[in-house]
Amino acid sequence: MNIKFECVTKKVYHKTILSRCSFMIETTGIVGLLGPNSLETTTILRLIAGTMQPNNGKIVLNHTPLHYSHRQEIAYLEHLRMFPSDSNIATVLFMYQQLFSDFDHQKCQILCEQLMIDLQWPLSSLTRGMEASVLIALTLSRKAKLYLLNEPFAGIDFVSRERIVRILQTYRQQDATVIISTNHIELADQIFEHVIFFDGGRMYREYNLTQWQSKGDTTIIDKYREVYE
Amino acid sequence: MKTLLEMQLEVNKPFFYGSAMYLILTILLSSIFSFLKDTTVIFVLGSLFAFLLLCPILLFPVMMIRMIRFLHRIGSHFQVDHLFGKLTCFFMLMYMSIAGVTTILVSIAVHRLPLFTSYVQMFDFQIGENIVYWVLAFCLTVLTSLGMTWIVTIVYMLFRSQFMSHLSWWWKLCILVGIAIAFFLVVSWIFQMIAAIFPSIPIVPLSLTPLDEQAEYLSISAVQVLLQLFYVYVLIKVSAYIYLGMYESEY
Repeated sequence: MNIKFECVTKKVYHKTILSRCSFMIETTGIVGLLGPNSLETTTILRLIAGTMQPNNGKIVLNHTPLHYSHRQEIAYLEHLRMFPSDSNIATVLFMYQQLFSDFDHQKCQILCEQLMIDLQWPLSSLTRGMEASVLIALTLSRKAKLYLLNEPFAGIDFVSRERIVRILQTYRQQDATVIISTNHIELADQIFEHVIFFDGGRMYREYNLTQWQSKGDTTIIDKYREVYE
Repeated sequence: MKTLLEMQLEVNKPFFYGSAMYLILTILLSSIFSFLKDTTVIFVLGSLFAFLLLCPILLFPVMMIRMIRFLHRIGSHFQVDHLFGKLTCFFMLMYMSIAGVTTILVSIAVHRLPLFTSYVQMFDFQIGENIVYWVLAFCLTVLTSLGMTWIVTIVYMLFRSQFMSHLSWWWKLCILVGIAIAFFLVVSWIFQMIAAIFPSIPIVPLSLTPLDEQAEYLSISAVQVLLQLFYVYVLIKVSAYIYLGMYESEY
């Protein structure tokens, strides 16, 4: 998947989140969007998913401007708040199956099992970590070309995080691109193949980790400190 | 359609229960007031209940928006344009079955048909009490529902366009007000045309009635004028809700 931001500006309530932001992602691996302000990286995901519109600039996906029809290639779910709060996870799975023809119900059940999610849990009783796990299961169960994950490790303990990393590496479509926005960078070296640092509403730096790690001299945490301290 | 309906019921459950309760209450109150003998009181109360009966119509676009918002946020690739056809059919059926049948039941309950007469007078027409007008009033109800649904659709499409995204909110507000006024002018014009084409049907536009009758009519219909203004206000609010609801509400 080829994603290109061309001088994109996004304001929310007169506050500029992205300011003439330009960058390009040309990989089928796992890409990390990192930065001290998670609002910037989350906004980028929302813009790609089409749940937000840029004020200025252009977003291009596979050489065509971002359009509603691109949604069938993008798997993104930010939270479960839009589902009726009295429904359970099984109902959410049913709705997802009706809405997305590429949704693999069986795969989702396997993922839920591995993430220790009970399908009978009502949404209103989910903790932040449980919700993050459900979001991952739902998102990865689609046969999409682009997966967007917003803060997938938020509220999840270290062991569960490692489990999620394994699931990410195993269950995503191998020819797909996965973009993850996160502040939990302690597992970043294991996951990401490409990282982009953002600051002040723009892309700050980007690194291809496959080339970088072959030198074996530094980690993402070191680089993060170097960039933002 | 079945699964869409199931999802629709699931997503809009509170609205459906709310509308059902609301309509039952309206029928009950109308029936109680039907025992009143004073024509003017019945007329005014009938006008009020006619307006109250209109409120669920306003709920349907809201429910449609809620469903679209749900699909929008879930990132569904369902083309909203395609979905509108199905949802409009669904809402039309719902409206016709609930509001249409309820209107007839209420009118039977109150004998004097104040609901129908006052409903029609919201469009500045006087109407007699005859079975023909029951049908006419029912058609008006359906037409209004269609108009409301489609005006909301058109406004939504317009606001979703690239052109509108570059305009300031003042311009957007002006366009919304313009659309609302245009809608009511067009509806008014359509009924004047009907009256002109079919003079045998005694639907008399206000402007064609003698002055003394006009004065009498105006004094009675002051409530309707206020209700119309409120109706326009709610329409604008609903349209604004679409815009605000569709975008920028994640924060």
